Amino acid sequence: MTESLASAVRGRRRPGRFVIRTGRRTLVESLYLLTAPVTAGASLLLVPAGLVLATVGRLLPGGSRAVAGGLAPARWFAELERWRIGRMRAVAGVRGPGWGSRPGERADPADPGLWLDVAHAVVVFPIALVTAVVTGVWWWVGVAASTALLRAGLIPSSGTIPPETLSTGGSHSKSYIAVSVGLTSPAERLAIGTAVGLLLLCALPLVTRACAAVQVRLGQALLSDESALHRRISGLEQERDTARAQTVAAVSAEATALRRLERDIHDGPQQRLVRLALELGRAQHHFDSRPEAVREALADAIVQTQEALDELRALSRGIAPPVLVDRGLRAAVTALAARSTVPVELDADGLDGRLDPATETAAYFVIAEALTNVAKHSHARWCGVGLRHGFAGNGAGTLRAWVTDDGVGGAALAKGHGLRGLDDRLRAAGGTLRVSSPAGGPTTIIAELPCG
Amino acid sequence: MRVTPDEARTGPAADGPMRIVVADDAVLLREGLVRLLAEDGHQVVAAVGDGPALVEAVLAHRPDVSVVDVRMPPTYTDEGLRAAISARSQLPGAPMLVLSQYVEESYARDLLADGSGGVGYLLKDRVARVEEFLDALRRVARGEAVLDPQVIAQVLAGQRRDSALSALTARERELLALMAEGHSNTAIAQRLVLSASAVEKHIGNVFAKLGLLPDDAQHRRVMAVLAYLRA
Repeated sequence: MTESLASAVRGRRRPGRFVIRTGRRTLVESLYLLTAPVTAGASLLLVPAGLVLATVGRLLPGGSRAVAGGLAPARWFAELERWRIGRMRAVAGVRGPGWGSRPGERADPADPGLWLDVAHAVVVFPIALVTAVVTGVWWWVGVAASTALLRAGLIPSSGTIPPETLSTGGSHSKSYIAVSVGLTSPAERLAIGTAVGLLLLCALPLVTRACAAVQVRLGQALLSDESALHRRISGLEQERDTARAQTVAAVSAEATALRRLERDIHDGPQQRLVRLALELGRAQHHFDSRPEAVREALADAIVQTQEALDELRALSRGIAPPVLVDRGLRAAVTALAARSTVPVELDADGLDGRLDPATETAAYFVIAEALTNVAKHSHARWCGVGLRHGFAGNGAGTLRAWVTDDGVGGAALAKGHGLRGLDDRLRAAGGTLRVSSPAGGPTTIIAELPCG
Repeated sequence: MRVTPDEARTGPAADGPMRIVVADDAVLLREGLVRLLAEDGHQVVAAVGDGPALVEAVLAHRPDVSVVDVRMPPTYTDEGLRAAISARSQLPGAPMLVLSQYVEESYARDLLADGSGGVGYLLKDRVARVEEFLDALRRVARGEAVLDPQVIAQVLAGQRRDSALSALTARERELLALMAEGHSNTAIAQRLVLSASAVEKHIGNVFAKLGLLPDDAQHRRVMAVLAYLRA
């Protein structure tokens, strides 16, 4: 608004420059509007086709390349339209903040911006078509009518011609309206035509400006930084929510683990040590009077000491298994498999090198807990454990760990079950847990963890 | 020396064998305790593993004293403590010595809340000092209050300035702490290197400052300890 006011003021001061500027702007806008159906038509064809390709790629295994390739045109055409609008505004001398392109290189289906690009590709075509037709016809009629005088050779032929009649209502129906405007002389008609043509040409800047404004508004709504900003905010909000859920899961997993640790210490080594103290107290109490009781108490004290040490060893293995810390996941899981009471078939050949410690720990405890469950609840005679690298939908590396058995099934992820704790632990590490355990078996749990 | 006038308790002879109920879910410790008590000539009339069984055994056997572990099934929290309080509400003044892996002042306050004495609250480790443990058991059976020094330490650490105890001198407070631990006047005199009469005078001052009337010396001791805990 201030823009046009300012130019109006300047224009009044220097009429010549105002005419030149308006003319240039009208030409640029016309060029933009008349070429719009070409790009819009191409995007209307290619973007939905790309979407179909991406959908098919999504359904096929290993189709992540097709997904990325199929989604790319939406981004290309959005970039093109952004560039066109930017150029048009720059050459036409419209000032204002530029839009810039959107952050992010890849076409990611999770990015809501991509879907706005797609929406723009679909919506823009009819609008571009209408504005292009209006602009084209306006130019055509305006130029044709205003140059009629020149084309007629400047000398109007004399004589009379039938009156010009504007009619509506159709020629075959009986009711119609016909207005005769007269103009039976060629000179009169030429004069009127030229006048109408000039009027149209004078109004042309307003028409192109309005049509261009419609296109720019549409672009602003769907392609601009402003909407990109909104999307960025919603993207960040989503990230924050995910992080928050992850924190909650981590806290819950940690609280559960700590509570269990406290219980284990209380029920195990602490009891042993109290009993040890009690036996030593007994030995002291009877030291002078009953040597046989002292001997018995001391023997018991040695047993309790040994047991306490064993329990502490098992506990420290439960907190941070030394073999996992020293030699990595594969060695630790091999040790787990060897200790299992149910025979375990281990498939971890695909795993090499060390992974992120958090990933290793989470995977280890998932397998350890799952094997404990197999031994306790499944009545299985066989159990398979696997570890493998994989790729997530977005191409990031993952670690997949699975445990399957031939037992009775019926494991559930519901609250209060041991698997729930596993789920929390995994989500805390950014992973997911899938459980398939129909009644009657078999049970398979699959953990998917991000890694490097 | 009997404290509270209730019919349930017969009170053991000064040094004679006691009839005892042991409640601990850890078999390991239960067996150790039973053997320890038996070797000292006491009769363990029941050894149980959870709260309801404790209440039942106490009501059935009316023991001279019960040894109770705080943490027992099914909740593994303060099951034993609540069972002990419940048993005492049905059999007022039934002596309870509560053992725990860790002591909490608030638990001690719950135990003493009925003001009738005959309660003890000790860290489990104290069983290693066999003589002291057996002595504490006997004191509780007689109706005294025996608190673990750690509880006393917690009370001292968390004491509010405006409490009833602020009127006491440092020496009087020290003396009250020893009383709460279950020491006799003689033992207190020995510890603080005071004459027995000086100890009695101090204790009299403590009772007076806490507003405890001279109706029953032993009961007043329990009330003083309770006041101490409430501080």
